Amino acid sequence: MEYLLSLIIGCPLVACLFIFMFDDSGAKRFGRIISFIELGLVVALWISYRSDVADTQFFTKIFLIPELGIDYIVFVDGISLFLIVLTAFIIFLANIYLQRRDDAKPFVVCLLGLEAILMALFVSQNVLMFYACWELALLPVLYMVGVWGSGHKIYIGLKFFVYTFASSLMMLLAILYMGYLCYEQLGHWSFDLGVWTSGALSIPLETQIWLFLGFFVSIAVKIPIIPLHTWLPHIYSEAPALGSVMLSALLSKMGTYAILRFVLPLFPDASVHFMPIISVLAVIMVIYAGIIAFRQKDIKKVIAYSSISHMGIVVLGIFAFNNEGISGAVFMMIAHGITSGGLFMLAGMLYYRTMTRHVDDFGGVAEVMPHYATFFAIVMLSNVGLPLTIGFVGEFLSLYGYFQTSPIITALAGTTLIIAASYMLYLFKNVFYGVIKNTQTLSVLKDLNFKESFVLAMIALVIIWFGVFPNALLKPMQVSVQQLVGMTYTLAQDEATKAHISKVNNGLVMTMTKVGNLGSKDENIISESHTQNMQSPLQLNGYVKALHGAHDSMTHDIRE
Amino acid sequence: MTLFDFIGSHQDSILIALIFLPFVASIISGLNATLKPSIILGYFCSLCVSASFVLACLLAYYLMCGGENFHVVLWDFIQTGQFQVTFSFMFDHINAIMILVVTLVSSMVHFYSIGYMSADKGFNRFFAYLGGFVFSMLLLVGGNNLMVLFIGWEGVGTCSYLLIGFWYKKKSANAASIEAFVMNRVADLGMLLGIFLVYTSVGSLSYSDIFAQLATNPPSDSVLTWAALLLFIGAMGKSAQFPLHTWLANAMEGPTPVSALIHAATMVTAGVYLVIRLAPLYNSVPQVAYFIACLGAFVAVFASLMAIVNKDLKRIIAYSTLSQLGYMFVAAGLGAYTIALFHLFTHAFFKSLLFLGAGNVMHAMNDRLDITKMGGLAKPLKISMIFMLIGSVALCGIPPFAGYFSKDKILEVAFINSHELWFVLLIGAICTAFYSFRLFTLVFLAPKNHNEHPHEASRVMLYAMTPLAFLAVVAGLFYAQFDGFLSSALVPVDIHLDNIVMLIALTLGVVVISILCAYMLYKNGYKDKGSNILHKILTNEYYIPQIYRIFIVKPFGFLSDFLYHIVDMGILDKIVDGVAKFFMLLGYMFRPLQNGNLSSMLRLMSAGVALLLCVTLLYFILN
Repeated sequence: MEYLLSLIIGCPLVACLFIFMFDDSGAKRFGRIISFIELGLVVALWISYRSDVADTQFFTKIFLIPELGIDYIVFVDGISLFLIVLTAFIIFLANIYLQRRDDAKPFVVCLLGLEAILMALFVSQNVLMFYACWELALLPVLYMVGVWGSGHKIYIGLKFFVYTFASSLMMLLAILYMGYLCYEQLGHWSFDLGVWTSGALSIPLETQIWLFLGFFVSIAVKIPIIPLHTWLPHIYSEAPALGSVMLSALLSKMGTYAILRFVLPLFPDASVHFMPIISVLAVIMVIYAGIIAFRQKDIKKVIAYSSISHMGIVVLGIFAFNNEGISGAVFMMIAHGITSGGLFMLAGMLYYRTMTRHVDDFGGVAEVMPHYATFFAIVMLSNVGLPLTIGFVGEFLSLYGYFQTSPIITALAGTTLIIAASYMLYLFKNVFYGVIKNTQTLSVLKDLNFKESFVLAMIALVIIWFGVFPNALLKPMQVSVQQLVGMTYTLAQDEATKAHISKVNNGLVMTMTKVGNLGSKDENIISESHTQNMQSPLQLNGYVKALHGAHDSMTHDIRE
Repeated sequence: MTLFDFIGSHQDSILIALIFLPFVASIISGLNATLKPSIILGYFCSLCVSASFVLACLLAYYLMCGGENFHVVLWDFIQTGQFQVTFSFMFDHINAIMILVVTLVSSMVHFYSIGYMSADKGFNRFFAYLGGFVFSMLLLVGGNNLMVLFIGWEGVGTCSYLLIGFWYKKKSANAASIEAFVMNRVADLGMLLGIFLVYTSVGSLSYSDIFAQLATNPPSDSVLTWAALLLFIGAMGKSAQFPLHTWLANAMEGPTPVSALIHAATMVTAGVYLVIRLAPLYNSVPQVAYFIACLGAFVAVFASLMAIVNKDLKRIIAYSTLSQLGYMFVAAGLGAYTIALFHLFTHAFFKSLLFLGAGNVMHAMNDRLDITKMGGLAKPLKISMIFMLIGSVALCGIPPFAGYFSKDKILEVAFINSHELWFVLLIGAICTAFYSFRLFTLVFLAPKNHNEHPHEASRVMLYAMTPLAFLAVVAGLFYAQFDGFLSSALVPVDIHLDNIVMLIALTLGVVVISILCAYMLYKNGYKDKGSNILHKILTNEYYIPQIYRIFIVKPFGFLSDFLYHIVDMGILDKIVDGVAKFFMLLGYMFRPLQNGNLSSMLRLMSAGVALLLCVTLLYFILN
């Protein structure tokens, strides 16, 4: 069990190497088997994850270059756990869905490679390892778009790559500076997130702002936050169906995950400082992208802009800085992954049959493809945020979380209820309702085949199951989210920041025990006590112990 | 073991079964949706919903015999941080009435639909949607907290969307269904914010906790006012109050049983239910409550005036519903919650009866709706005519029919509180009488003005209407029992008026005169008398749909195009491409430097060395 995470990373990676032994249909089958095994491993991880413990679990550390603090460190907590589950689930469905007859082999390699990279990204505790995965994840997608895309695929692929890669370099600079800061203050290089967030580093507000911007710009391009989004509509619409699924369901989550993992705990003061601007940007994302989606003629572009619009809610939820908002944001990440992934797959099925995505070419499809229309309706309603579907809970909690900060901003962001309904129903009407205009292509359409039905049934099942029982996701992430809020609170230096976080949490923040200067031998464990603090029912000691472990190994390194 | 004990020991499972039976029916017919229409399936669904009604009767009997209110927690719905809400139901005196009304009207409409939809290809699909609607409605009224109410609230909205757009090949039906959904969503946003505010200030969404907090430790007045207003915005959407009313008339594109069930008896009354449910909240903010009453009175007249001039059979009844909802809101806003609920109760019967009768007429007329082109239907549609007559008389409030008892009470309450409101409502009552009998006369009594061969509706349809007709006649007589039943849940209303007989006589007098006027005017058929400006405004529904189209729908589409073509692709994308082009340009400019010519490379190199030397020298000199 100890190496489960490494196994999860390694399994698809190793499988990639073997795919070249197969022919195309064999590769497809192999891909299905591997991704199924991977899903099994992830489910095993979910089952054995102990949600009541405030501890980094499945922690593994292998030294690579200890002098520079570059090691292989993996762990999982309640936030990354579900992103891992989402990744495994979506890749599994993608493998089933894969329809290519001739050149399936490289496609399967792309899918499994991407899976391994994303798994490594979500579990890594070493920031450089995270960064490496962050950039590597571009490659499989670039390949998919470049080879199997449509339209100006080379221009679009290049734009995507250069845009995101160039902006990521700013994050790299910020990461290197953080490492240097460790060297300056603690006497050794370190890229271990556990060290960075241990409280031993003190980053002055001015530096925080610069580092925050470094991280945030590259994240903002990934998510993408308007106005840094223009690469997205192109690539989402021109990528092959599964490419769009990967991009919207998985890759866009990297950005929001990075905010939760790095930006909030590392730069709490800067985060609160920039919160007003970012929330306004998030609201603009929600409204602006939603309005644009209304009149798009390309089915995939509607989904693409809807995707931007929904990510705005996620960003808003994160910058609520409270338990409800952040849990809602994480939930919404999962929900958005499932829903937009499902929508892109659905769009792909239609495109595969008709070779067109233009809305005006359709009409009356509900009559020839009733099952398809039903599944589309279910996923659409989840996208609209109907209660008892997965799309509702995340939206509700994110908005509720931000309501504590500003009711007016929440009301503006809440217009997503109206805007999303208008563009999705309008699209649904244009494609499915009315009489069949384009008779020779549309009236001969075949309804879903078995594989497609299976994929869609799985998606519909997840949409409804977690819409009805959202606690299945919310409970396990609870402790980690509390810990994250607590860490943000504890590491904040500015009193105004603390006051804000305390306010939005109703004064109930679980503070972390701050480990004193990690470099020195006699460490002081200062537990900050605040009058309003909740008596934490959680095993905080476990968390402290983990930090001790990190500390021990570190002093050990230094002695060597 | 007596029946009472039996229910007492199984109350939880009965309530759950009652709520989930329509859901089961819906799922089963949903699974058969693409198969051949099956009448058996229709009967199965109808029986499921009827079973729900029977269970509801059992539970109501239990309450009447002195049983306690109870609630059932099914599972923890959302629990994160400080936000905790359960998925739970309850049964008390207020929602007992609602559940009874919903299940009764639903089962009758289910049976009626077997006949009405029998020729339709989407028969099974229809029953799937209808069952889903009943389930959502039961969630709405059966929920124990605002979250479950909101789930049902959105659920009925969705089912209403699906049912309005049931005939999806019709363009107008699709437009109407989207309009209904989106406009309800506007209101739902208000409701959602209201829920946020309630949770933030009270710390719970469950009704009992909210009321307990209000009684012991109420939040500040401004918070309460905002919460009441925001929640009422939600109610305005569902109950189609001005200015969110346009969707209701367009919703008549759906099949007629749907109009009877959703847009007359159940869903549109959800807003009234919400206000009654949160009575303690609205009692604590009298200014909001008074606003509700004024808005209700305004809508009562506003809508009935539109009904007077309209020529569309179903739209007239829809506007009538709108105006009756206004009456209910007046009663609720004035604190007479029992009377509001009573009017909701009686209205459900006679209004659905009227709609179903209209459905019979439509069947007879091959779905033609223009009442000026009907007439002479009295003979072929005798039973339908009697049913419609009962419905119309009840609607006008003639004793001893149901509408009299509830509507007159509302007028009396209004008279006590404010003469202006009473006067407005009286005008509304006159209009109601006029348009009801205008419709009735033109459809049944006026000379024949069409070339159809009308035939009476099928037997199952008529049977399904009979209980509704019966209740439309007698339901009003039970006001005393009704009041007694609710006395523990809602503050009873005492009406003390010295000249109450005068008031009743006056009301009845003008109503009867109005009926006679309508009959005299239209007994010889409709004559187009040219139109004055008032008539024009009314036939165009005050130009409100046009205003919405010009100022909201069109600019929205325009804005969408503008943002995409100009801002997104025109400016932002061009800037990004501009940066890339700038680098390309740089590359182009410096390309001659790397031309591979040995001598020019040498020249460049020596120039570079010289430059570097100069820099170094300069550095040393300056230091």
